[in-house]
Amino acid sequence: MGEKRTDLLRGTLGLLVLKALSLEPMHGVGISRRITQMTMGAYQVSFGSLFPSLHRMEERGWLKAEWRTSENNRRAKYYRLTSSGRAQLKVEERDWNQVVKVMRVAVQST
Amino acid sequence: MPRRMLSLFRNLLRKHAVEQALDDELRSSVELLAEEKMQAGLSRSVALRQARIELGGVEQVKEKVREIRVGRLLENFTRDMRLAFRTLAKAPSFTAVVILTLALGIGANATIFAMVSRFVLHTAPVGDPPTLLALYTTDHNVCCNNFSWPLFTDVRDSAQSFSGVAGFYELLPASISGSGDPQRLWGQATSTNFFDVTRLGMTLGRGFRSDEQNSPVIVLGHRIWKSRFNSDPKILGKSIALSGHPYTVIGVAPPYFPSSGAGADWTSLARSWDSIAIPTVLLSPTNRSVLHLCRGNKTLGG
Repeated sequence: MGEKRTDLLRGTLGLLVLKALSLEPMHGVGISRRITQMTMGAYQVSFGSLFPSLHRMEERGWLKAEWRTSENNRRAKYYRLTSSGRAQLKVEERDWNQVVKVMRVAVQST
Repeated sequence: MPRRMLSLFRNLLRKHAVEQALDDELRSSVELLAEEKMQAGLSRSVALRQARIELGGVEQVKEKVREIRVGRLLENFTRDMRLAFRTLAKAPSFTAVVILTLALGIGANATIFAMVSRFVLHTAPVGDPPTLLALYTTDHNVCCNNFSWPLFTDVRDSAQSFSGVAGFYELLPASISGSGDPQRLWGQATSTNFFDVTRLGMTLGRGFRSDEQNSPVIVLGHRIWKSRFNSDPKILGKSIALSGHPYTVIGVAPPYFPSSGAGADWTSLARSWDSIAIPTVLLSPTNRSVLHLCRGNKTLGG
């Protein structure tokens, strides 16, 4: 799978997962693919980080999981954003934008 | 957080189901990944192998998921405990030695602490403890013989250095009956001025009066008052049967009422010295030895 960055900036994985699921429910592999796609291939999230993250968010009530049949007739566990998950996405987006704004100013200052 | 509590219960109680679900999820993920690769033209076996590599090892991923679950700490703890017990069970003689060592160590510490607590942390409940002395007779410089009754009365009547001299006799066997099961007790016989000399703060009622030498009256120890009479606040004036004879309760001694030293099990009851003459108690005052306490004059400084 090439030499791509897998060490996501701390705290960004949750945001990316929430964002990926904001359109439609997906299974773990689908989420991974969507993140790669969303970041234009810059981030390749490892499953060793993704699955623990998904389970943690499920325990926190941001995601709800259910077994469904995939497009190729396979049973897979699909994750869906709950309403508190959507609220969390909003919070994390706002926080992230704040960080970006602050960091940009900081980096550009001389 | 009720939601996390729910997760905790699910993780701990339905562990098997939770594990099974995780296993299914990872298996299906491997299949999904392999399918992608097969669509790219790989054979199924190669695709499966690559899928497992990409996932990063099913067991490793499982372990990482387990680590974040609620209740992981508790689960680790119970597993550690189980391992500890299994290891101990494998080496029974070692375990026995360790348990014995701990038991003896704890026992010794508890005993020492009980004594420190009794003699250091709790001052004696007597009034002005430094001036209270215990007198013993010596025999060829060997200490701590009791006084005989005549010697006691002599000292009491003629000693000028003391503001008061009281005597008591330890470990008087008696049985208490009446309401409830009969019970064997140890009492102390005291001179009537015992409570005046020691200046004990009574929990209830009073000590003996000097005219009560031959009266069937009794002071209960705090412990027996609590255990047998349920700390009855209206116990005063009631009659209790002691070795078959009725005695009227006139007071309750304070907790930590000192025995003359050793027995933490003391404080059962105290009664007037002269009532020992009652035939049911097989002691005669005339030849019985008696320890005594005396109260030093302030001027002598103990």
